[in-house]
Amino acid sequence: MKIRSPRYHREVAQRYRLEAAQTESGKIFFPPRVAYPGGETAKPVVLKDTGKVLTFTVIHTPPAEYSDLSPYGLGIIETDCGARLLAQIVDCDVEKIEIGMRVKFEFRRMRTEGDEGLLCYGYKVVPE
Amino acid sequence: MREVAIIGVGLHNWGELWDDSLRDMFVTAATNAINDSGVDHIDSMYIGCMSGGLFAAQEHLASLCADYLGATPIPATRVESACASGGVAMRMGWMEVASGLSDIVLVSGVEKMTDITGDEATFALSTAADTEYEGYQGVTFPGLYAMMARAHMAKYGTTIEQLSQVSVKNHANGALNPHAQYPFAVTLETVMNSTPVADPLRLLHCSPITDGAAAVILAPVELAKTKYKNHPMVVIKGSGHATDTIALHSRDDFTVIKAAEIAGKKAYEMAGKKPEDIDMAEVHDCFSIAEVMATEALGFFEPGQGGPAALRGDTALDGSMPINTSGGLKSKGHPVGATGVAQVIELTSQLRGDAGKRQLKDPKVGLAQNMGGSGGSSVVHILEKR
Repeated sequence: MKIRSPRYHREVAQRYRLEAAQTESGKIFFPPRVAYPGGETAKPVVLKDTGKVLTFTVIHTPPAEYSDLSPYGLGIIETDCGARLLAQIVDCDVEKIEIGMRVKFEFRRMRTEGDEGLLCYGYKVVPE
Repeated sequence: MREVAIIGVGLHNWGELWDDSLRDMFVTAATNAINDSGVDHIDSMYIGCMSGGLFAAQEHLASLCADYLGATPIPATRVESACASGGVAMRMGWMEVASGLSDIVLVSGVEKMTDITGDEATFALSTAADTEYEGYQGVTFPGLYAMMARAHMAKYGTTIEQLSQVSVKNHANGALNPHAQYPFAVTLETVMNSTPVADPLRLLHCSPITDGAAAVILAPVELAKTKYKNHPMVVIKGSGHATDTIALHSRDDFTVIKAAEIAGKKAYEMAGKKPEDIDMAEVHDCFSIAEVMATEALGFFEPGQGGPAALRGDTALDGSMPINTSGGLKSKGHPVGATGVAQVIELTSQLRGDAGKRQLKDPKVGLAQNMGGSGGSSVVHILEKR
């Protein structure tokens, strides 16, 4: 795998700071987009860093770059401002994860990329 | 628009085929379909393939496939919609014949998945999800469908036993299919105790990695009536196609596959049919929960009733609504780009009365539902015996 630093660079604001966008009608889009349904405009917002688990799984057969973390929890999280995103659920017993569980976002190291070992960061959630 | 008939079908064997290349598998399936139909030429062709590049280091399949079939300079188009590539290729071919642009069109699907390691194949498949916001978080396709299964269980009380019965039923059907990759029966206990992959899904709730190719020949009904009379005529009565968000987490409801529901409605409307008019269906059971959700989205069962129906045996070969008589993706195999075309071949074989040991009693109407990613795209075709 080759290093793809420009591709990584483009996602930094979203992954490091949870930067999103909210349309006039109130819907939050994460990540922000170039255009919004119905021709609405949107203003920049930052996601609330707390929320709850809507559904989840525990990955036993991981992709290669996460093989040292297996088994790990992964869930679709609804933030307290109503945005939905996928995140690893860490720092807890995977057997104890359940729908409705309260979680908090944290800035974490995700993986290394490419032969050069680019360090990649982003968000994961932990029990609140 | 002209009515379109399926006048020829052809498969290459499916499996882990180290001796067979992408181009050779395509040519075998295409040649079998051409011979089955009796045509002496084709006007145009479509090739459904998800990722010749990542799986086999080969793009530009339009030129490659036309070249190795000896069909240049006819127009050829490679179609990609992840695991729905074959189904979308069917729709493109159908449109070309229906519109009057071409008379004889070859529609094929091919995928060569085992030239690379399991990790590389997992990565290639994961590109059907949102690479930056799903793949980056470490999710796999079993993981995405596992989250749908968990939500379905929480909302409707669907059980792991019900999901496991889907795999048992599909393996029972596949055991009767000489083209299946895994043509053997499995017990409920074996499925429920197989290796955990992504909770609550285990290995035997997941379709395999497969090499394979499939092809059909399309022609206008009026021409088929007079010139291509090798087989009982099978007509494409309806075609529906829809998309949804690429990321599962962007959807309002994780328990319904909306793209399949909308594609189904469009196909029913065009065909003038209702769910109760369908005698059999091939649905996209990439994971057992996907079959349950597809049978609900297509209106065969009420939301939440797909699991109980599978456990009761309603979807078995001798049930009231046979689903995946071929063995489905689970037992027959899932060379992603070829799957949508092979579903249409199974229906055609059943409608012709050529399905051997798994032949249903005189089916008249069949439905094929093919799906990309976690439901980000879906295609439905309704076929009728004329």
